Parts: sequence; structure tokens; C-alpha cells
Amino acid sequence: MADDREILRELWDGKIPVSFQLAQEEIYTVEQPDPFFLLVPRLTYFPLVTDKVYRHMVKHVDPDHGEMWLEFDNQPLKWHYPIGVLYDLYGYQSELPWTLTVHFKNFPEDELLHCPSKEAVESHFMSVVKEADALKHRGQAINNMQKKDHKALWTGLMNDKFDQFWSVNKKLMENSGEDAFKSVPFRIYQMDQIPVQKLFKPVDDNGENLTLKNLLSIALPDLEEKGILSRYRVVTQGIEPPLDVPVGWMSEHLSYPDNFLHICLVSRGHSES
Amino acid sequence: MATDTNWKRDLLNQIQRRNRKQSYPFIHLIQTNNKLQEIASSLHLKNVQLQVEIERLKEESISSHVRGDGVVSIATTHQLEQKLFKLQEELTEMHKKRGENAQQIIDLNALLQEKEKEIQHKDTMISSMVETNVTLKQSKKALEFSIAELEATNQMLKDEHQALQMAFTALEERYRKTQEDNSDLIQRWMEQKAKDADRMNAENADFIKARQQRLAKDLEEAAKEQVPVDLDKGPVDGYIPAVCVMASVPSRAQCVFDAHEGEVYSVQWNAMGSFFASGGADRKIKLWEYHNGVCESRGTLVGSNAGITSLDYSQDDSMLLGASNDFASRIWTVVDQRLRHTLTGHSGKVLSAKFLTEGKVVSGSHDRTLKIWDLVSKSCVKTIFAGSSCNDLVTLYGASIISGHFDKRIRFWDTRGPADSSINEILLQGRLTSLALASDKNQLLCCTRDDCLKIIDLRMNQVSCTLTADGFKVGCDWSRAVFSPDREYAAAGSGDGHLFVWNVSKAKVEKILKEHSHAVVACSWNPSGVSLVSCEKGKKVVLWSDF
Amino acid sequence: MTEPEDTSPASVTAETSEVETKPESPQAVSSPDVKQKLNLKVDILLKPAGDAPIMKKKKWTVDRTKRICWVSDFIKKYIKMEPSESLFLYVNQSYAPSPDTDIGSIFDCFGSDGKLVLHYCKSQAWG
Repeated sequence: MADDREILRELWDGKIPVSFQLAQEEIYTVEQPDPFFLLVPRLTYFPLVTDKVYRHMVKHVDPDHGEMWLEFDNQPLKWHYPIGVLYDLYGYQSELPWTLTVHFKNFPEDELLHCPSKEAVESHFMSVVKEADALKHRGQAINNMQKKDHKALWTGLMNDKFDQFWSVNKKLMENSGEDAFKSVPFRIYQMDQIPVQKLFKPVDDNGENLTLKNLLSIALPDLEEKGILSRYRVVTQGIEPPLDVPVGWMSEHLSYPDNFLHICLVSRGHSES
Repeated sequence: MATDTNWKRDLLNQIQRRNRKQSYPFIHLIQTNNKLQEIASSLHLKNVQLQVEIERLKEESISSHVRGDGVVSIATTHQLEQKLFKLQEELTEMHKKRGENAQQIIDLNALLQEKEKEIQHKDTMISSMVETNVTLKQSKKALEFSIAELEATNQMLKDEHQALQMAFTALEERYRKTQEDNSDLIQRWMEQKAKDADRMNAENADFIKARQQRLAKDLEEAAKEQVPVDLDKGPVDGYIPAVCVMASVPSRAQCVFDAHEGEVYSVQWNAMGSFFASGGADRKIKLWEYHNGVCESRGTLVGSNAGITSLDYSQDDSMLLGASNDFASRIWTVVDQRLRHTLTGHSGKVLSAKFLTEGKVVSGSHDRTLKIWDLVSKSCVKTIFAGSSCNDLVTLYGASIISGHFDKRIRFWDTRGPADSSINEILLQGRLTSLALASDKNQLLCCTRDDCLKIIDLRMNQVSCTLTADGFKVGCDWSRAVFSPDREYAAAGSGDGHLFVWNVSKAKVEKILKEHSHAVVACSWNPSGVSLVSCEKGKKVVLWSDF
Repeated sequence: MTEPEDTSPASVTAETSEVETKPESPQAVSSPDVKQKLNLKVDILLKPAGDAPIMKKKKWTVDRTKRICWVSDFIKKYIKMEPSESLFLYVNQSYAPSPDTDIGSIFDCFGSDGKLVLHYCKSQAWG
């Protein structure tokens, strides 16, 4: 168990160095803005950490600008995915620091959601937590909590308070007896495809724990059938877990704060190119 | 378990490696970068400020160069200018201050005035308060004085009350004593009275004895005369149970009851005083006994065909004679309440019928005759033509008849004398309605329709006394008046329903008894003198008694 | 963007009976024709909550790839709401799905009896 706790702690401490650079065509001032460097936690969301970036960059753009958005390698980044997911999906094989382009114009309405405030992030986060619990416990764990527990969960994440977050989150992660997970909340991401999300019971009819391999074969029957699964790296939380790890355990320990397992399939060929 | 730990360790290692690779090398780098960036931006800001400052200074120096061209000493001018500027500034400052001060003075003045006004207002308030205070003090004093006065009065009243209380107790004590004396005296008086009564009874007895002796002597003397007086006197020996020492005038209606179905014309006690009979328009004669405050019916005598106008008991109470409007008179025996004789012969209503002796009866009728009847032969033995309708008659000593008539005359007859003429006549002012003899047979009470009673002394043959009263009205032609057994009182019913009782010796009304609601027709005094019955034109008979 | 086709009752029953098997055992489906068809469309049932007006037609057949925001816009248009007004969509009467979530995924996880029930309302109803 000490290992489990250590894993949670180490995951929590995971950070990514990011270099923010203003899009060249949007620079409004004579002076070239310096890139802005930040070490951002993997588990959080961009709108929660980019206040300083905004203040740094906004001086150099047309005052008649729109909402700030980020882009990597011509790929707009969805603010409602945890940063770690975005990095694993798009920047897994790129050099560090991760260099992102900051935009204030031409908001890609089709691809991104607007983020009017941090409250929007909070409500999105809580919705995903509820969805996860609906899958795990038919929503009972989250419904039994009080409003202040919901708040503690959010502020723990926002203020980087590991103990506060987990004091609440452990109730959501209860996975024994009657509270055993009915199914595992997961999403599998591939570049340029919509994420895959399905019902998946962590234990089969014989009581055997199902593994990451089982999960992949059920979630991605196409890849399985074609036998091209080996062309992809299976990445979550910036690591590549062995395929025999039980999915129930993964859900308990490798889930993001939103209680979902976010798994990215990264093409090996892509790295070679 | 081993594999478990293996992959867990593997995972942990991967994560740690990840962190080592991705975050740790950059922590210091980025921190330093951020710090440097901040410093750079602040320096940049400062730089800009300095640049601006330099620009300003440059401009200033240029302008001063331009000005100081023609003057010898730019410095002095500059100094002076500066001084002038300063002074000017000071001056404006002073002006400003002065204005402020002036404004302040004005404000203060206004304030002062306001305060003064306030003080004035306060002063007036104080003076009015003082005034009120004085008046209040005065009134307080007055009130205190009045309180003291009231207290004094109260004390005095209390004292008086105490004195009166004492007097009252003393008086009460005296009253109690007096009452005791009184009761003592009453007792003594009663004893005395009892003694008196005894003595009186004894005297009466003596007197009666003497009279009897005298009568016996007289009888012996008169034995040769063949007068049936002894018949009359015979029963007296074992008789006269109702002895009246002194009649009392009753004041209470002891018993009021419906005796007949119509008018009650006549009422009569028996000689014993134990029963009374009443006769009415309902053709009946009823016998009553007064017992324990109730009048109980003791029988009804029937046989008459019209209303009963007059009643008379035989001397021994064994027979009852009733006169009737059906022109007849009838005799019942009281014991078996049977009709014994019906005496017919009159051609008008019989208004009065009386026993003359035990065997003879006299009746007076509206047909202006008197008839004498013999009960043995059951026939009229004599008819006296009186000349006027006879309203009432009385008999005297078994031989004399006195009749009262419609023509305001009283006529005296002797049965032994010639039939057609009266021995004597007395003319009164009103039509006669009744006649009554006093127990001593010396006085005759006559009731007349001029609303007065006359008492005639038979020895003198003249009216000795006239009894009248306010409100006394003789209600009908057969209203009956009676003497009390002791002759002390006379009673008669009035048309207004009152029963009047006069004191004969004083010739004054003694009492007016009010109970009847119709005209009172007749009354009868109990021989014992203690009670009185009266009857009225309604159905009622009233028994008056104090006991 | 296309209006969802107005399914006749017959076609609905045919479809739903086929759909039922899908979440249970996806591997069992092997016929490419059926799979293709199943992959394309799902049935959704739109129910109002709170003060939202009722939709005359509740049951719709929608492409699996359509997103929640598309459904939301569709409902707004259908019940004649201003585009500026906000509309909330709820799954399972408990959580609001992210607008860019595809209907297929939600159907796979929360559909039952061959259809997915979505509640819509004009004010926040749950959570």
C-alpha cells in the first residue's frame, strides 16, 4: 500500500515545463514579446494556470482581441482536457520545454469550447466527476457527499493540495464490497479521432480481474482485429503501463482527478518521422 | 503478489523517471527565468520612466536657454523668477486663507446667533418652568392642607362613630332588658287576663244561674198564663256551648274558597259555632267545617228549586231552615241531611225565614206577607199582611216578630195579638235590607239602602246609633249585617267587596277586610266571637280569623 | 447539419431491437452491414425538466458522431429559444455532458432499452 500511496503522490507532483510564445502574426507591438515559461501540473487545466501568461502576452496584441487560446503544432488545445492528457496525446515525443503558441484571434469555434471563467472549469470538472461516479457507483458516492465535499475536491485540485483532495477523493475511489466499481470510467484518445468511451466492467464473470489488454481489445475492436495495436504506444499519465495491469487498480490509482482514466494511443510511426 | 509488486514498481519507476526527466530539470530554470523576466520588466518600466524624465529635463533646459538669452545673469533672473513665483504662490495661498477665515467668521457668527437664540429660548423655558414650579408648590401646599383637614375630620368622625357605637351598645343592652321586662309583663298580664277570664266566667255563670233562678221564679209565677216560654228556655240548660267573652275582629282571610257555582246569598254559623252553612243561587245549601285552616265540605242539602235567600238554624242546631226564591221555605234535618218540610204558600220569592219556636217558623216574602207555619201540621197557621215586601225578619222570645221592609219601615208584630196590625213601626231613611238582634235582645241592627247601619234600642224604640263609613255601599236588597256575639262590633259587606267592621260603642269603623272581588252579600259571626264568614256575589266564601 | 429523420414506428422497433444487443456484447457483432448501421444511428428520447416547454416529438434518431452541442442547438431551435439563452442537457438525471461529447459514447455508457434519455431545461436542474 505504501507503494500505492507513493504512486499517487508522485503522479500528483508530475509537472510539464511549457514555453508560451505569442503567435507571430498577432504581435501588435514593435517589441517582440519574450516567451513565457511555466512549470504546469499535469493534473490541472490550462485556464487555472495561464493568468500570468495572459497578462504577459496581452500587452502585445491588438486591444480588440478575442478569448485567449492555445495551439501546438497547428493543433488547438482543448482547455477541458487535463494538461497531462494534452501533452501525452500531442507532445509525447516532442522536446521539452513544450512549446505552445498563444492566440488571441481566430478562435476555432468548431474545435474548442469557450471558457468564460474559472467557474466554467469547475462545473465541467464536477460534471465529469459525476459522470465517472455514475459509471462506478451509479452516482451514489457523489450523491452521498455534501456540497462542501464537492468544494473541497475542487479547491484541493485548484490549490495543489494533495491531502485535501484525496481526503474526499478516496470516497469516490471506494472499490470494495458493495461499492465495487460497476464499470471503469475511461476514455481512449487518438490524434484526429473522437475519444472512445464505453462500458467496461473491471472484473469478468468468473471474478477474474480484467487487464489493460482486455480493455483495449474491447474498446478498440478495429485495432485488435487488424492486429495493429502494437503500432501504438499506450500512454497515460506520461508513462506506458504494462498491458497486464488490472484495470480496476488503474482506475483507482492512475485516474486523473476527474476520476477518469485518460489513455492516449500514440503512434510509434509518428515518433520515427 | 510478486508480479503485482513488479508491475507496481515498474510503474513507480516510470513515474519517477518521468518526473525526473520532465519536471525536475526545469524547476530552477523556469523559476530563474520567471524571476529574471520580472526583473527585466521592472527594469524596463524604470528605464522608460527615466527616459521620460530625461526628455522632460531636456525640454526644460532648452526653454531656460531660450529665455535667458538677453539677460546678463541668467542665474539671478532665474533665482528672482523663482522667488517671485514663490511669493506669488504665497500670496495666492494667503488670499485663499483669508477667504477661508472670513468664511469661517461668518459661519461662527451665524453659529453664535443661533446659540444665543437657543439660550433665549432656554431662558424663557426656565422662567416658565419656575412659574409652574411655584404654582405646583402652592397647589401641593393646598392639597397637603386639605389632606390634614380631611384627616382631622376623619379622626373626629371616627371618634363620633366610636361614641355612637358605645351608645348603641348601651341602648341595645337597655333594649334587651326592656324586652325582658316586657315579656315578663306580658306573661304577668296574660296570667292576669286568664284570671280575669276565669273570674268573668264565674261571674257569668253566677249571673246565668241567678237569671235562671229568677226566670224559674218568673215561670212559676207565670205558670198560670200558659205561655210556651218554657219550651224556648228548655234546651238552654244543657246548651250554649259557644260562650263569647270578648269578640275579636279578625284581620286575616284564613280561608278563601269557591263555595257555590253562582252567587252566594246567605251564610250562617250554627249555634255551637262548629259548622256553618251557605246557600247560593245554585239552589244548594252546603255545610262546612272549619278545620286546621281549611273549610271542608260536610254535606250538601238539595231540594230547593231556586236560589237560597236566607238560612236559619233551629236553637238546638238539629234543623236548618232555608228560604228560597221558588216561593217556598224548606227544613232539613242536619244529622241525616234530609229534607223534612217544604212550606209553600207564598206567591212571591221568600226573602227570609226564621224559627219562631222549635215547632213554628215565620217567613217573609216579596209578596208583602209574612206567614207563620206549624211544623207539626205542616201548614200555614197565620198570614200577616205587612203591606210592603219584607226583606228580612227576626223573632223575639218565640212570640214577637220584627220585620224590615222595602218601604223603609221596621214593623213589630206579636203573634199572640190580632193579625192585621203591627204593634209598632219605625221609619228609617232607606229601604231595609237586613235585621239582626244583639245577643241581649235589646238592640236591633238594621241595614238600609242609604248605606248606613242603624242600631235601634228596643227598650227605647228609637235609633241609638248610626254606623256609616266612607266607601261603604249596601250592594243589594238582601245585604245582611250582623252583630258580634259580644255586641261590641257590627259587620256588614259592602258593594265594593270590602267587609266593614264597626266598633259599636265608639260608632267608628274598626277594620275594613279586603279579600272579596265581588259585592259582599252576607256575613255571619261565629258565636265564639273569633271568626267571621262572609259570602259574595261571586262564588267565594271567605273565613276570617286570626287563629 | 441535417434534421433527424422522422422515424416511422415500424422502423424504430426494428432498429431498437437490433441496438439492444450492442452494449451487451460488442464483439459478437461481426456482420459489417449491421455494424455499420449500428455505428451510424442511435435513438434518443428528449424529456423536458423544470420550466422547459415540452417537445411534441420526443423520440429522435441521431448519428452517433453528433455532439451534445448539436443536440442542444437542435432543441433550442425546436422549442424556439433565442440562441443567447442557455439550455442545459442532462444525462441520467445527474450530470451535464461536455458539449463536445459524441452521442455514441454517451449512448454506449448510459443508454438503456435501446435508447438514450436526455433531459433538457432552461435552468440548472442537477448539480
